Amino acid sequence: MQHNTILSIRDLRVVFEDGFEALGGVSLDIRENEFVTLLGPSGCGKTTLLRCIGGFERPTAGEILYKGQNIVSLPPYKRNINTVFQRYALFPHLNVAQNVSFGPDLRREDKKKTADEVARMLALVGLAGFERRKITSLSGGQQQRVAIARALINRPDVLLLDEPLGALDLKLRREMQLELKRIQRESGITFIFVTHDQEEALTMSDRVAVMRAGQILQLGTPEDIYNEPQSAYVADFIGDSNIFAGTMVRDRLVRFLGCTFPCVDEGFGTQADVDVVLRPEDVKLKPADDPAAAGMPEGVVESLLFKGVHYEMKVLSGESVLLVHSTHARPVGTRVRLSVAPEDIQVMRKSDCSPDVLQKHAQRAV
Amino acid sequence: MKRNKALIVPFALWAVIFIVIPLCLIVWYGVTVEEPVAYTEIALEDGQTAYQLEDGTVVSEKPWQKQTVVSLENFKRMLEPTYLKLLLRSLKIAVITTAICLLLGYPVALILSGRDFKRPALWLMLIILPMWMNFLLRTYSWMSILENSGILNSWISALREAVPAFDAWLESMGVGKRIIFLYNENAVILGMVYNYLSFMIMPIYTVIEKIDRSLLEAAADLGASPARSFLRVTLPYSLPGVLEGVTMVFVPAVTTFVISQLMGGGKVPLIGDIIQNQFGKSSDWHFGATLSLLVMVVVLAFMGALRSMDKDEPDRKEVRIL
Repeated sequence: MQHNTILSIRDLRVVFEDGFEALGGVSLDIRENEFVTLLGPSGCGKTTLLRCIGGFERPTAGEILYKGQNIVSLPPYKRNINTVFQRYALFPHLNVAQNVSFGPDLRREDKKKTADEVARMLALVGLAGFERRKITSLSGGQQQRVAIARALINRPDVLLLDEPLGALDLKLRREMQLELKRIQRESGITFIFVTHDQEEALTMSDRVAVMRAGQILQLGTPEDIYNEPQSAYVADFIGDSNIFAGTMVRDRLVRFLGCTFPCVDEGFGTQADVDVVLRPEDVKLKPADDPAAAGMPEGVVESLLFKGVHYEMKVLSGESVLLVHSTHARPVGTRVRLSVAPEDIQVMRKSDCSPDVLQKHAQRAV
Repeated sequence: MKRNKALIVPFALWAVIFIVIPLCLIVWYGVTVEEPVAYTEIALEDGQTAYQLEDGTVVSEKPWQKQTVVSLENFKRMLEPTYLKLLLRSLKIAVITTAICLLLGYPVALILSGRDFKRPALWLMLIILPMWMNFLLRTYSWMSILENSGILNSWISALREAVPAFDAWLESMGVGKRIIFLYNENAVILGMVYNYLSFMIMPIYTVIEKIDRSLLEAAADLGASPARSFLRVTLPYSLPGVLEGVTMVFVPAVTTFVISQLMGGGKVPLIGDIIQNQFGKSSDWHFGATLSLLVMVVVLAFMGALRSMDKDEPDRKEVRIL
């Protein structure tokens, strides 16, 4: 797919008054009609980045190019960008229709036309006929939809969503994820979505930017982020994972858990320290006496949990505990060998957060 | 729950003793008058006169006692133009005072509650601080500033001597050597504005300060310039505070008598002065009570009107919480 870049963020830095650096030089290109998610734990700078794009925060340095024009000094009301706020920020003194028509009314658009447009928007978000309802009489999910309708009616080129599903219960959140995705497809608007929920990010996004401490660690499609994490931090943050310190013996050969494995990674040099990630579903358990698995690390099943679609097992191998997902249960105490396909081994360079992540994973053994 | 209910007993006692009973007394005094007891003269055989009271007792001395009778006489008197004019003047001055307090106080509250405003607590403190001084002291200091040989006049005459052009200009405007600031309606209004301004600022500040910032951001996001954000969000949300401030200024302004006596020097009597007079010099408690009832009804009507304005604001309670 060929898309034009609509928003280009160049080396954006935000330092708060108390000296805290919320964004430390972030660069990001966002294309038309794209659904981009900024993903990270609280305090990683994702909301600050969103607020800079919306115009609510003035960056200390850097540029935000909107269709090629720097909009850093433009106030929010002069940007063709709308926001769905974390707590929706609906006006409780106005009813649903008045909230949705707030933007068109400000532009003094034709009342009749606006009323039609409001009805169309409410239908789009599944609230047809709710015009005269009071905001306070709506449920969280309904308020959230009103907030989306209120933003979309302005036909923004970019819609910013600041953890809009955070206040909803799980079932409603799942529904709204699909709903948002549908609205984005139907409206053709670029969505920039902020969340700390990795599952949400993977489900909805065209691309995900994983953020930590004011930096984007990795930007890519959900598949890339999940299958090819570029750092131990990303691997740990996205989904369940097993992370080990390892050594890249040479190209296509990595050593960890006391064994040497063939892999598909190249270019790390020889005898280089690396981090290795195995996804739980990629670790296969073989019988200890399986001749095909000879030479693979040995382990003992420590625990077994039934999770519905799969079983979750913890396998102790040497000093490490591995998380293994399998549709085939092995009783606790079974001796097994661990087998991993070369393409399922993800090798990453050491980064400054490797020690923390490795320590966290090592603690599973205790 | 029972314990909670028990906690209200002290206040209930207080309310009955100091609010309910006095109120009943005022109503009782208001609808009664003192009349000399009725009697008939009886000529006795020895040429002397005796007096027979209505209950039949006969006394030798002319009865001097008065009796309390229910009568609407005072209500009739209350409606005489003299008193209605005073009431109207009180209302006029109270309305002007409230309007000036609102015009001065609202911007202050707005600025203090601004997100970029540093140390609002300190500034609020500075606004309230004068109110901790004695009310009379504050009013007397205004008098010493404004009186004919006061600070303001001596500054002005010093300036006139120093700058002849200014002197000539004042002369041409027909201003005398001493400017009379005190003892007129404007002085009374000044005294009231000064004393009641903080009662306007505080409730408005409290309400504006509680407005969810994200509502203002949402308005800006939807295309509202700061001025229109104010008109569409801040102003409607601050109305409860405005109504509260208006009540807190208007009610004491209608009933005050000290300010009008000091700043007005007795030349601008208000309804409060007349009521005070009835309980003081004139010692006609009954008429004083009747006038109090009149003021009470006017204030209640005013508050009722405000309440109904408040009802037009549909989600007042929610607004308060936000």
